[in-house]
Amino acid sequence: MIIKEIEKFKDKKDIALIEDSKIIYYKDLIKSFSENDEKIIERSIVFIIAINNIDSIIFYLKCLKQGAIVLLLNHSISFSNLRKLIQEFNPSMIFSIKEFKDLNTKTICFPKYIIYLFKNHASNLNSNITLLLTTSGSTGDPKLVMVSNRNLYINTESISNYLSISSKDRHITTLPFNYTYGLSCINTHLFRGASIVLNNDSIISPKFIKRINEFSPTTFAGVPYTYETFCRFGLEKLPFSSIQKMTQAGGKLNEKFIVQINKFCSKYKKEFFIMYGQTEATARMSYLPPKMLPKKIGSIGVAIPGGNFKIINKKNYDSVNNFEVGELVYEGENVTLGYAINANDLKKTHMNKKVLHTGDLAYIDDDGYFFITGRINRFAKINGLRVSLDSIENKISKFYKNAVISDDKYIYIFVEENTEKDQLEDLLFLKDFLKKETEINPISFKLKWIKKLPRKDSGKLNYIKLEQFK
Amino acid sequence: MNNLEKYQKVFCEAFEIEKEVLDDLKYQDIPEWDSIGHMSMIGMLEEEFDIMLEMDDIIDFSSFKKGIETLSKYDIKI
Repeated sequence: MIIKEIEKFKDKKDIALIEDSKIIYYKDLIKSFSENDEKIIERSIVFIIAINNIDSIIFYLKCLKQGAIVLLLNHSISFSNLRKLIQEFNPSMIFSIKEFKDLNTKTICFPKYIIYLFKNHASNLNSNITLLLTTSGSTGDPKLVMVSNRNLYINTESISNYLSISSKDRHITTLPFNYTYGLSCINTHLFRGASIVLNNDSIISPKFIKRINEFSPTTFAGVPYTYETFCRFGLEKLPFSSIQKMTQAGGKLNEKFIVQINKFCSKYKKEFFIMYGQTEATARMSYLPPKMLPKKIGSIGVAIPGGNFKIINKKNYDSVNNFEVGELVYEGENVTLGYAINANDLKKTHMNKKVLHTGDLAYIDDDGYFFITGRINRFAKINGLRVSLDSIENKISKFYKNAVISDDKYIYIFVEENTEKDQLEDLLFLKDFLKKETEINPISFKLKWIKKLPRKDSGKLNYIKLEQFK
Repeated sequence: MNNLEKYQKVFCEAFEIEKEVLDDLKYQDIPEWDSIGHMSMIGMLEEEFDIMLEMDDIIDFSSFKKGIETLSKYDIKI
């Protein structure tokens, strides 16, 4: 249990959390999460609609301590998506930093959050499960990854080791709390008794820059967009003198920027870690040791401590030779228990799978470093978020025949033309629909009309042919 | 096209919105203008006016109106 590790710091006088002028020390943090005023019920599901703040983190830790199963959700979740999740997963409680007026249930209001209580909730669930994580978080798909206590502990420990996180570190948050990567930053720093500067403002906001200047963090995390923006600003101009470690995950960063960051880091003696992971592996699967970065630009590195990679040929599941492309397969104790689509799935016993077929295509070089070349699955990575293209296609298919593809920058939606209808009206309707149903910035969607969707002889959509209509 | 029209065009295209709502538009008023939309709009603006904005100006670019002030620093009169 990661809680046990955090409790080891109970006699430490060090700072745990900084939320602007409010500071929480480890001994107070531990005292706070050990109380159960809210009467959190063990082996029941608790939704946490959170931001990076003291209240959210304490409540999250309380749930872990009490043995509840936590589902972390983004505060921008629509009411309809939230309602769907409530129906399928029957939580006992929802902690939310914002109000949902249409939730008809018992409510307890606190100064900065609200607790919703549900009478008829799922109970006596599998005590081995500790977290539920959204896979395609952005589309409101009620398909959740089940994370065990062991998964969480193993991955948190492994990440803390290869990043050499110590109590001297101070992290500043740049990612949402509910995002797998953002959550793992919180877990790993608390795990090692480090301090965390809580920030919810975007990296381009004056408040973020002010917090860096004021609290001198030593480390932060970013998705490709974060580093593209920092490079655009000019790394030398940013107030990064206190920063010692930067990590990057959530998609492939353009090599042009990796080269720039590497140059900056070697000049100022900072470390830059490129990493790779998936929610299905709790968070992290690989990292590139910073000293290898100049030689291995574009690589996702090697498997994290305790993990193993192999590349297999899809046809006969054999291992392939060096430089030969195949599917990347990961093995380790952080591979999660599988998916849950409703509370019943949490009543069953689940075997630790240990092996994860990532759906990514990759090769290994002669020095044992891995390089990703493409993807087998129908997923896109938009601004660090994994988006299921099929899930978007299914949503829209309620109204239109359509096909969805992506180049990881935009999501292209091809709608089969219906001349009897007013296209502008359809366009506005669809844009509005996507805005409500997903958490993706609407400018990432490109809607296009097409006379007839290209199909294969089998009648299946021909996505490759669609590329030319982008 | 005069500078105002060019400036409006960038906003309309970047955020896929109508010209009529621009005057009072502020950062994060609409889902399109989040930090990601912001950087993409700044990029389009730089291309349209052939300038490179400084970091502080990008960070302080908090509304449609504020942007007009910012651009004047780069000798672009709107």
